[in-house]
Amino acid sequence: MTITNYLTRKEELILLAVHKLGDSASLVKVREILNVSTGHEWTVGNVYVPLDRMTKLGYLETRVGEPTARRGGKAVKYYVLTRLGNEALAELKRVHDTMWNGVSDPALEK
Amino acid sequence: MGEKFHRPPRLPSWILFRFLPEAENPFIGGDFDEIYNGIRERQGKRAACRWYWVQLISWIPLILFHSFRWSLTMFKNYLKITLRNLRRQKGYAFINIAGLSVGIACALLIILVVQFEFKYESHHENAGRIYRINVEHTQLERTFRSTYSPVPLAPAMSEEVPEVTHFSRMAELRQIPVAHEDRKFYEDNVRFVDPGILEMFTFPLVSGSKETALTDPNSIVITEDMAVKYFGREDPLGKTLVLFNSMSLKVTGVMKNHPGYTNIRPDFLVPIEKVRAIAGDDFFQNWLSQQLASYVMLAEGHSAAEVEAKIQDAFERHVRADDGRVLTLDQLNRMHLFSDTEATGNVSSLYILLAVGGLILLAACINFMNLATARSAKRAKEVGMRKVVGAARRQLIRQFIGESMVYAAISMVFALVLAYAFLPVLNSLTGQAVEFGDIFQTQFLAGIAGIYLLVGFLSGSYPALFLSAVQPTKILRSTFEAGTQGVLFRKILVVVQFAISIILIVSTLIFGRQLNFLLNKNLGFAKDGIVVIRNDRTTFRRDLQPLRSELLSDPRILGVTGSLMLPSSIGMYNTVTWEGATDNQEISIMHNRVDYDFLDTFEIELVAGRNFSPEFLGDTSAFSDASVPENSRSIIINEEAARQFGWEDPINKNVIQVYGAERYYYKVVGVIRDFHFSSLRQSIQPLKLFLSTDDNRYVSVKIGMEGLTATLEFIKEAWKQIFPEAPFEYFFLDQVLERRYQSEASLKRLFTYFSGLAVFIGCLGLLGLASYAAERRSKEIGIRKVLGASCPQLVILLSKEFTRWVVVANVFAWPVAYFALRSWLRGYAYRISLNAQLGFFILAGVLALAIALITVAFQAVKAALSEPVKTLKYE
Repeated sequence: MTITNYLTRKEELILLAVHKLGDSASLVKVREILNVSTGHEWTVGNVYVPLDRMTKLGYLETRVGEPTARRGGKAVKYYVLTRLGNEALAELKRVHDTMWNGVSDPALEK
Repeated sequence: MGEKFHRPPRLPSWILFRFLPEAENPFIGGDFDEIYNGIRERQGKRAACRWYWVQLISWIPLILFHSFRWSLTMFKNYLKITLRNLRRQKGYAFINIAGLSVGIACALLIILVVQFEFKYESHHENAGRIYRINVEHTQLERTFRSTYSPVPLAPAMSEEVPEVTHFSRMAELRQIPVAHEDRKFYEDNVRFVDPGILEMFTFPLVSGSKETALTDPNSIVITEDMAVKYFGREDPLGKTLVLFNSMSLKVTGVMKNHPGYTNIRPDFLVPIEKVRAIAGDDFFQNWLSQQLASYVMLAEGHSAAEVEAKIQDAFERHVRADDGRVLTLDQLNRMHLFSDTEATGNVSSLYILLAVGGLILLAACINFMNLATARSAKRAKEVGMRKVVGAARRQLIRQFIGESMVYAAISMVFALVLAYAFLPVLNSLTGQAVEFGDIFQTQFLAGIAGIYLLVGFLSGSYPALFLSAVQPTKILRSTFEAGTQGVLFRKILVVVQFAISIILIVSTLIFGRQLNFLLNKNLGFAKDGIVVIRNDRTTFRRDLQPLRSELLSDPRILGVTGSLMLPSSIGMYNTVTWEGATDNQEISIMHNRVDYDFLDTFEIELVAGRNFSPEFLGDTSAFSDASVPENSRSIIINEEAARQFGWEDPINKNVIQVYGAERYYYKVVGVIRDFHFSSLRQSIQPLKLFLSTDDNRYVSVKIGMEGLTATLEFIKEAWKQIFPEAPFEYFFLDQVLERRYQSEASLKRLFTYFSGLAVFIGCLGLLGLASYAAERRSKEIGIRKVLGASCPQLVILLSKEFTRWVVVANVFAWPVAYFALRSWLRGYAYRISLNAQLGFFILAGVLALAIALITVAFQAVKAALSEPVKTLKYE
């Protein structure tokens, strides 16, 4: 598998966030998770563009939800991992784990 | 949730929605709204708004990248193809770029010249509120207009018309001796003014204060140039200048030198009170004659029209009920080009120039279109391939327009260089000081960008629209006949182009004829061999007799006379009535004071009566005696005056000047043939001459033209001996007369150059087309040669087609040129008859045809001489 070649680091993180959120992965929620876990503010564009691209590449699917008052009466779009997306994440995890395995340098620990 | 929903700011959300793909709008919009509302609840409206904007701005690069990524790739390809074509066909590229750059350079130069003329007086901050009061006087359907007005007018208006906030008069005296210690010069640009002038006009002071500089009557404000001239490097402030050898004035201010685009350029400003010492109190109370220029400044928000009426009312309270003079206002910043009274510039020749610039630019664009369509066959395969691979028509149009934009850009660079290089030449032709730096004004840069887009778009439009419409199947089939498309269109373009050239050539020739006519027309007086010595204020009252006898003792001197004004430029007039006039009707009549030998020296023909002579007492008697008819003073009038008075036999009839309650009588003793005493643009007006032996502002000496230098030296010696205190300054009358038609001369010179350029551009295009035609028909030529065609036959074959186009161009050009020139010539009271000049129309046509033939034949001969073997061997 060479999926990882096509994904940037940013896209990886977003993919992972979608996975974590399960059924409720809307752009707003994805962005919140990213803000919290990376510690800095993500712009809407920085989240939307990768989401859109990965949808086009087939890693994600979209599902339209109910409109709410808070959104000015507009519907929400949820993102769901496809099989390809799942495989990509699994591949990423495997590479990650393999690479990190056996690294025990105190300088790298927080 | 249940919380209140807040609408995000309108502008950024509108922008956002414009850039998003439509299908995504509700979702992204919803996301934005949700986050916006969240921030708003936590941190308030201001922070939320800021967040929205930051989001939008930080998204711009992403959006741009995504929407242009593909266009960028294609753009790189287009650029590569363009440059490749340019390199592969150097000849065509040269013709295209040379033509376009020359065309654009012409347009740029013309716009520079025109905007310079429109810039006149614009440096005065109050230019829109300052007006000059002119005087108009209409009698017998003839209107006399003067930029001068009565002396007491301006102060009276400032008191009586509330809209007038400031005023200043400008009295102009020439030849004033100005001295500082041993530096003595005669100055023409001394102006006697009111202190308000520095408040009204923008004459920036480099030293001294605007408020107080002219309040002391013994002060003088000078320009930087004059400061250097009189004081060198010393600080001029507080130093003394002596005018008229006795009037000591202290320098209280130094103003910046005047820019090139102004007609109001005083070198010295002196408080007008000082004129009292020279002209007396009467000067300040004379409502009857026009003595100086009056300027008034109106309060903000008042139009000339409403104030004009009020000024007229106020004026009429000061003068007789039947005065008849009408005051008009000329706005300062419109004065140069649009003054009805005396426009110093010539706005119609500017419009002509603009039209010429436009035509040349059009010719250059046509060149480009022409060559591009002709060459289109070569590009057709490329277009076909692009279409097959999936190019949309829009993309192809974009490609070709883009290509011509590249050419236009390269040409623009050359054009700027050309314009820079040739501006000095142009300036020397027009006598203006147009600066290249003007190009860097915002409006001008916008104009250049406009020209660029126009040229690029116009010249690329036809190939773009035509080529992109071709069907790929037709192109890619081998039967596609290259270059047959748009033949008619190309013919029309060449015809238009040559019509432009022919119009310009005809105009140049006719301008030249009219100029020659103006310069060589018999004016009715002798102008050759007349040396005019300008007399000084201090000496012009003195008797000429000693000088005359001294000069006439030499056989080289043919005549000597003095006069108040030269016969070429009589500019003073007054109003008179005459014996037999119904209801004391009055007309304006020009007048001049002349010496006994004025008529002889200038060879003005006497048609009836006699010349002035010392034998008759009435010829010399003083003005005040003439209040009874028996003591009337003698005058000589011209035929036009006699005609207007309606006199069959004018001799011994009286002309009467009404001056208040007094009537002064003038008896006609002679009638002279009409002569042109002003520009030939105007028709001859009535004239009367008085005898006066002590009003010799100009001393005219008629000499033989042999041994000129020695003769001049002799005159100078005699002058120095008799008037040692006066400088010897002279000029030749015919040279001054030539300068009178400077604007016609420079128009003609400009046209000579521009029509040359138009022909050059036209020939470039023709050259390209001809060589293309020869190339396309190379096989045909080869076969014809093999079958025995001779070289001249082939040349004729190839040239015939182009010749026909140029002949057709004549048919279109002649009527256009005829009507344009006819309306131009109507501006002259004396002009050549256009119908007698029709030969020049034919000449221009033949000239254009000859040039076109030479251009085409050059290519045709080359093609006809080529070896048939070379063109046929691949068949």
